[in-house]
Amino acid sequence: MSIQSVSSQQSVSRSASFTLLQTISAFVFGAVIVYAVGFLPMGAAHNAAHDTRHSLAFPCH
Amino acid sequence: MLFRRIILNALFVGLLAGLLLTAAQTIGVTPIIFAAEVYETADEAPVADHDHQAMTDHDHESSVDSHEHGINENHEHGLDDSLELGLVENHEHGTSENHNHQQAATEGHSHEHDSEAWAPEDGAERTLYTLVSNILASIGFSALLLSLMAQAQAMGITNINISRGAAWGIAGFIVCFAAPGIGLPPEIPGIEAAPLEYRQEWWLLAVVASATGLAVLAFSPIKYKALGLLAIAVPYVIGAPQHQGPEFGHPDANAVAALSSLHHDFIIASSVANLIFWVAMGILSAWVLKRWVLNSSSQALASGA
Repeated sequence: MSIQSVSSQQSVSRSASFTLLQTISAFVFGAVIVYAVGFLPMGAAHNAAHDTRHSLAFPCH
Repeated sequence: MLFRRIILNALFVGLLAGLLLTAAQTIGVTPIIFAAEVYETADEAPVADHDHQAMTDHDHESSVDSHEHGINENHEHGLDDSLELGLVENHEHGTSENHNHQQAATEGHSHEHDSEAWAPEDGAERTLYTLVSNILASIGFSALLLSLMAQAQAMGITNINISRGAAWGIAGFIVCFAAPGIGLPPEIPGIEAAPLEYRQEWWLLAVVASATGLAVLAFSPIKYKALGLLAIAVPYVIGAPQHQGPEFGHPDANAVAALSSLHHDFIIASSVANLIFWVAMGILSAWVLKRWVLNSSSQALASGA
């Protein structure tokens, strides 16, 4: 009984850290895209996303 | 897999919210940007043939660059002689326009003139790129929102529903628009501002600090809530980078008055558009989170997989 509950606790904690790993990965994915649209200093990226940057109040120019 | 479901749903939410943002923007925001740009162009070059003028100046600069570069390399590194000769010769005679143009293109990124880099044509092409950028930005924001919502839900600190989704959306508006906007108001083209890097750093600071502060206020025990307020206050205590001098560099007083009025309208229009965008993002994200993102993950959790 106690062995079972320990192993189920381990499985819950393993699954919790796996969840954390996945939400962090998705967060990084989102942050990279927002950086590319809002902050990438390359001229062509700035010009393509220009009106988006102004509308979302990213610092621009 | 949770990661995959967050990304797929972020694509879906981002597409819808990006279309909504584009609609709100087209009605209220971009007309003001276009109106302000009229003064920006007039400010830079009062002559009619602005593009040609700029290009000629640039060609001259870059051929001088290549000349100096060629000489230096010739002496110090002794690289390919024929290439060096080509560059120097080109400078001396100044005949090959094609070459100058190529030089401008290859050096475009290192120069500070934005007008030299590729830009979409005004009209349909520009609108299309804005639409794509809006959808991409929305996908990114939605992935951020969904990952935070999913994590909060998995930790049991909230139970997402539609009205809490709207609250998350309002929090997104405060964090990504209002909090940085208090120190760095939304800008229209032609406005003078502190150096871009400082403003970007402060923007990021304001976003991270207000997100942390709001999360503490919303989810922490009452005795820690003062720390949330403190976190929100930090960026303003440090102070946003400010431009010294007049807000608009335009020489004509009438133009400055018009730009100031446009700027005022722009702050209101972009606030409305961003509020609509973020509330929609919050509601949509909560909806897909309940319906698709968490559905099979709770089953997976139950089965221990």
